[in-house]
Amino acid sequence: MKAANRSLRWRLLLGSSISTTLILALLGAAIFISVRRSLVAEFDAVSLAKADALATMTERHGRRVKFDSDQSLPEFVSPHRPEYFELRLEDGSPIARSSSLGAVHLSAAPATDAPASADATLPDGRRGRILTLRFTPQTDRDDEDGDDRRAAAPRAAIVMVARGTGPLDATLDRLRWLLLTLVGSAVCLSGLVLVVVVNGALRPMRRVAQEIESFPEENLSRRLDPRGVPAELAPVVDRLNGLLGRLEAAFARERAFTADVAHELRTPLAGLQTTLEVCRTRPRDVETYQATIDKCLAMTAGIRSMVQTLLMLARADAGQLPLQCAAVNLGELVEECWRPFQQRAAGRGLHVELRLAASCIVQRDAELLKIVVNNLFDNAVSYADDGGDVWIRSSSDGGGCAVEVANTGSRVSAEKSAQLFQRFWRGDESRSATGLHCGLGLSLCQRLLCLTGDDIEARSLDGVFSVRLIIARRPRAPT
Amino acid sequence: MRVLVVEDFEPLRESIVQGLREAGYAVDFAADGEVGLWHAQSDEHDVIILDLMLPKVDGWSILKTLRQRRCPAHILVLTAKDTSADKVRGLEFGADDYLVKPFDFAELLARVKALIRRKYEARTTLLRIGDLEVDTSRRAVRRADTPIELSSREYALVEYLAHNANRIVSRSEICEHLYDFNADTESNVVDVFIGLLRKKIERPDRPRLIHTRRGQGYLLGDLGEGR
Repeated sequence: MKAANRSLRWRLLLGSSISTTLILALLGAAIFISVRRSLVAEFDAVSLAKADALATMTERHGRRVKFDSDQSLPEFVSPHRPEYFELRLEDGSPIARSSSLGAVHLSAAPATDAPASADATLPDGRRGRILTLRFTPQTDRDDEDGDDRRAAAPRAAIVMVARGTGPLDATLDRLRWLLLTLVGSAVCLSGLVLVVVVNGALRPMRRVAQEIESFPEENLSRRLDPRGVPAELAPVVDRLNGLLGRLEAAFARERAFTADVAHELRTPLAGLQTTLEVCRTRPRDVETYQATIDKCLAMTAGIRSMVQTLLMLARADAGQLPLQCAAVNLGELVEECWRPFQQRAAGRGLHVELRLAASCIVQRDAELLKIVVNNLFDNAVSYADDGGDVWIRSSSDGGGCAVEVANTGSRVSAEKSAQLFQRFWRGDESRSATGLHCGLGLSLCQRLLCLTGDDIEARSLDGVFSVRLIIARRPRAPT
Repeated sequence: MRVLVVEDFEPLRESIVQGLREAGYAVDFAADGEVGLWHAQSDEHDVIILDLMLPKVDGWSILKTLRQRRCPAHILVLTAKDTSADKVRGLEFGADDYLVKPFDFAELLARVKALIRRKYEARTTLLRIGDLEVDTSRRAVRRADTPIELSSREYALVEYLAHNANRIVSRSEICEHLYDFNADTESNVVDVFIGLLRKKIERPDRPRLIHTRRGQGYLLGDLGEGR
């Protein structure tokens, strides 16, 4: 039952059936009332004509009012289903009455100038209607007497005509049954038509539902066929296809990311496993064991670094990286970050030029900025050619500050600069320092800067690789 | 037997090289594709262990180049790429074997041995020359059911000679297969090891197995020559 309640088909059928039944019933009732009213009006018109005739036959003779009938008026004397009339003065004095009445009196409606009709039970027990007409009897010209005419004031009289409504009731009964039959048949027929129409109208929806049901869970490349879809469903299909597209892309990104993570971990894990297995093949001296442990620890550090970077990226993506912004002097921060890299740079014979703006204050999370700057320094010192150049510059203007780190010896082509921020992307496919440079550094920098609405640009031109951070004075909305 | 290891991740490369050397192989190594290709083309290796993602020249290109130039070495691709598509591509490019990282070193060693057997068309791990048995899986040598203790270099020499049984093998061939790039092959080290092998293998009461062919090299085989 609940399923039926939720079914659009049932709701449509039920709603349409109820409304159709109501409309047809109201229509039938309106027809019946209208026909009945007009038949009753016709019936009353006949009664009025008879009452008028009776009034015409009533004349005033001096002070007396007489009913002068020179016609037989057979309907009022018929022994079978007779009609009735009664004439009396307004004060109740009788003038005349039909013989069919016998001793019974007709009850008059309140006297008004307009004829009044009402349903009533006839003296013989039949259903009927009584028409009451107020009139002033005409003076008989042959009997005019000047003195009498002056002396007698006109006196109003009432004529009541009662007639049986048997034929009228029979006609109305037939009409009632006819209408009931018609309305019932129309309801049944419209119900059948509705079933066919609703089923037909819902067919595209069922097709779409079946199509969606047939989609394999593991395959998001399928799309709904928009052909033949009604206009009302077209936006739904459109949106669903769009949603499927976005889902597919998101799953593909996630799969690629997971595969990349697994892939990146394989090589250092292989290094760890092989180092330990080879070491275990035979007894070794203490120094060898020590060296093996150191080697394994270095590899573990690489793996840990990669896992930390991945975690930070995941937290940044999920908006779970809390920012603690405070005033940071960018020049001082850059200088502080550079110190630990000096020895490595000197070891590789790099020529380093450090040109920092004196005052460059921004409201930022200093720890996150350090992660970004350290990444840039690590890349520059690692990827610059032996004896090459490294430039570190910071500048400031009214809008904010910029930090640029550049190095010679870039092997990244200018065309591939756009890919630099893709996760796990590297200039070549080498994993020579797996764990330390696994192609996540620049992605992480970009993601962290996005949290405060800052920009990062990278380019490789004529063997010089440069990264530029553009940091506004105050944090902006995440991009 | 001489193996070339081309792997850019230093700790892994070092461990593979150490493990193979300790197993008695002569091992050359390279940290990038350029040097790896140069080694593979300059010297004759029995097996090349090749990573695919390498700096300068990637493993796919090395594989393609070596197969185009009909390099006789058997190539084992050792990579983190684990999809079926990668494996199919690697084998179609001419790799003889494909091993995904991380791996058991024992498995790598077993695969290297299997590739060497294939290279010398030995279907069994037990090579028999007269009453001399060389068990390449256990790296054990017996003569007339008596085990013979050999150093790893001596074993490598006897295994190489056994793979080339009844064929004259020149000194330079032996050097090519038993000594890596860094060894001093100018000296008479081959003659010294042949001398050591003779002392351990030859018996007064058994037919001679190691024969010297003056100016040509050495031959391992039972030619029916008594002592």
